[in-house]
Amino acid sequence: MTPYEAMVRLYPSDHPRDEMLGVLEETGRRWHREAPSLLLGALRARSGGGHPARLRWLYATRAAALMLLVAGATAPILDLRYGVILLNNLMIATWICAGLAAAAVMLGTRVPALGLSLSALLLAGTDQTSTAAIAAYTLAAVLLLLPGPPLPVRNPLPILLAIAWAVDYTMPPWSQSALMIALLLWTLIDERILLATGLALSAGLITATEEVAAATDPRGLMIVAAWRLGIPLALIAVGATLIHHRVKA
Amino acid sequence: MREPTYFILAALQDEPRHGYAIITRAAELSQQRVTLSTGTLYQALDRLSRDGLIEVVRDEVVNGRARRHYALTPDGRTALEVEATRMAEAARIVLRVRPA
Repeated sequence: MTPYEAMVRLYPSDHPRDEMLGVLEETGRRWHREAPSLLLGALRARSGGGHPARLRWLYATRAAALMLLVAGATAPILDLRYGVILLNNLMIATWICAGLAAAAVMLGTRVPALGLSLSALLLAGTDQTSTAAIAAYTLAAVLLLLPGPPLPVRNPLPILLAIAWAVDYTMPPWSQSALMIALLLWTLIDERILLATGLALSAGLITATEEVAAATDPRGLMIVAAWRLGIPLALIAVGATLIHHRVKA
Repeated sequence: MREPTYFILAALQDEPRHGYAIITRAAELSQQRVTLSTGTLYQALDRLSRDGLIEVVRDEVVNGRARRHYALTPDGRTALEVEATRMAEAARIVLRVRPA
């Protein structure tokens, strides 16, 4: 198998792979000149990132909802581990609802995902053990209100990022750095996960009210503002710019 | 509209062409400024087909390889003409002869 044949096989089977191979043979260029765009094109075709802008935004909201459901379910785990809260039936029921809602988002079925997210929100609100989980389920439900065609989220990166975000300082620094690098590299192919990360981190604005109340000096307020407002806004701005740039024909 | 897209559409304005012919015609029309790689060409062809600016008008097999011929749709021709007019007007602002 030639390097060209191997690369063209990376494209989905409904792509004109044989025709591309014919063009590559006719141009007769060295393979390293063609390789970057072939690889990028194959990954973009596989990720489904070729949608129009409206669907890219919609996919980002669904991916953000998935991140929030995973982060919401993961949020009380640290408190449980350190004995700050005790496991109870409401918490288990919340996990089941959040897990099923996440599965529904991954399958692209919005309405069941919305119903299950609202159930998780109601249960978490009744349990009152984690403000972060309540904020995450609230924003997930709001994002799932947006109607549109089924857009399954099968990329594992949002789930890994959400877990990393929820378990925060208990993760080894190298794994957090690896995830950040993975997010940046994936953004070269598909900007929607970066946008989803910005949207999901906006849930921090809900919990920021407590942090603002606890901040005793202007420097503390600045840090809260930068973390809770600046980072999500920056990620959304970069993601939106990339969508605009890539959709432009 | 970005430059490679403009020259891909311009390459199709006279007649339908297959992938390799689009690459060579776009290079010729742009005086070798736009040398499309195969990956870039097919990403653009995908996007333009999805947007209804081009369409496949003929399929054939040459030397054992599938080959499709692409043509401008009426929307594609309009988009190309609108872009050409826009660029001509922008150029006129800079290139017009000023009175002495």
